[in-house]
Amino acid sequence: MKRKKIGLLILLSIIVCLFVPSLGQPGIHFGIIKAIEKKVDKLREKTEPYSNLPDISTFKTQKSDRFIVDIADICSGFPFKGRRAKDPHQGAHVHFDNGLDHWPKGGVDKPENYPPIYALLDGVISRVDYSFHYGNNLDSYCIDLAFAKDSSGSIYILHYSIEPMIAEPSTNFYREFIFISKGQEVNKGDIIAYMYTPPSSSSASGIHIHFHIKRMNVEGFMAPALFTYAVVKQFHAKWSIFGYDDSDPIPVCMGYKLDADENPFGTGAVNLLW
Amino acid sequence: MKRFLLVIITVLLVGFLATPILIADNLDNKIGIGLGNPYFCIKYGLSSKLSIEGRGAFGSGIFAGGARIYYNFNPEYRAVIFVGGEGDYVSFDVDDVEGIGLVGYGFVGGEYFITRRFTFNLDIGPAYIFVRENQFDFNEKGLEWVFNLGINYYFK
Repeated sequence: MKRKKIGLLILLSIIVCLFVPSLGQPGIHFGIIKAIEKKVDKLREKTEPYSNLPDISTFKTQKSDRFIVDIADICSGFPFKGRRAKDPHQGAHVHFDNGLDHWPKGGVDKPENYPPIYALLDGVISRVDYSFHYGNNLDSYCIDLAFAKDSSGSIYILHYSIEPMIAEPSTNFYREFIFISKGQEVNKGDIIAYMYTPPSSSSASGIHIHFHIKRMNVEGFMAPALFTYAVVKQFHAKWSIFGYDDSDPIPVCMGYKLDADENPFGTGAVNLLW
Repeated sequence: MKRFLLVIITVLLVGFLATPILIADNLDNKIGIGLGNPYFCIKYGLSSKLSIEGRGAFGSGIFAGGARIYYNFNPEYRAVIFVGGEGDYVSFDVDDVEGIGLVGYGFVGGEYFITRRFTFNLDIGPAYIFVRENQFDFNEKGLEWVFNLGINYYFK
């Protein structure tokens, strides 16, 4: 009798197992693992675009002719100044002057009438920070563009920190200036955001975009040496008073007096990188 | 196939309810082990009405480990109807997607004593699943319906 019951149990188990595959349809899952698999598959879809990124070494020679903003829009700037500089700053800057209320264009206050910010390369938006509080009552908005990886699988991102140098005027104000979302694939030249330049803010107010390369989930910043020499030369022509390391004029470059770990191409410490 | 599944569930549930045979035993202080689809578990009866269980479930690159608590409505019968809850910690490494997660699962089900030691059990309910991958910090969350089947062996 006991054997008969155990046999019945085994038979029932076999029947159930035969129908296991049909239970994996949307909504109901045979076992918790099937349900988790569905969620992990969705995660894989989100991470898939990153697997197609080119190797970072590609950008040693293949530079972008698209700067992060229209150079005509900026009033000054400077390159990434490495640790060996007299006055190091681990990020390049572009500065804006809205002292004469040049923006919004036409006096119509909508994001599209402010300076556009571009994807300088094809890539994937890996992070969007709609409002980042820092300093003394200041809020910025930030975008990370993943554009390359290396042989170890590290993802290289270009970080844009967009800093209007004021407290965010109202809740979600900067959100309207961001035209992409996390996980979105973008192409070189796409407008990813607009630079909010507060009214009557002269160059002295310090409105700027700080940008550098970093590796995802790895400490340390690297020089954004991703542009053609012609673009870097145009940028250099705009540096004005910021184009100095203490009192030393900085030559045409995107990275100045870099330590080895500040050089994204792994070619060691260099004085000038573009 | 959905209809077939419903038929199986209905037949089993009706079977459970229609066989209130006292087996002169209860779940108090009983220790059991179980296997299912795919999981393994160790179950212990805190009282005739309450049981706890430690369980681990595994699949290709996914592991979920946690605990369950059962409330048994009719513990002295051959067909025991229960409700309960489960919480799991999840870790996964599937292809190049690696991360962790959490699961909360509420269920209703039944356990059928084929013999005094061998049982067959099933449960069904909604599971809230949250998973996060490590590299880009993406996450996924939401409700999914889960259906479990298994067998248990009690040592006394």
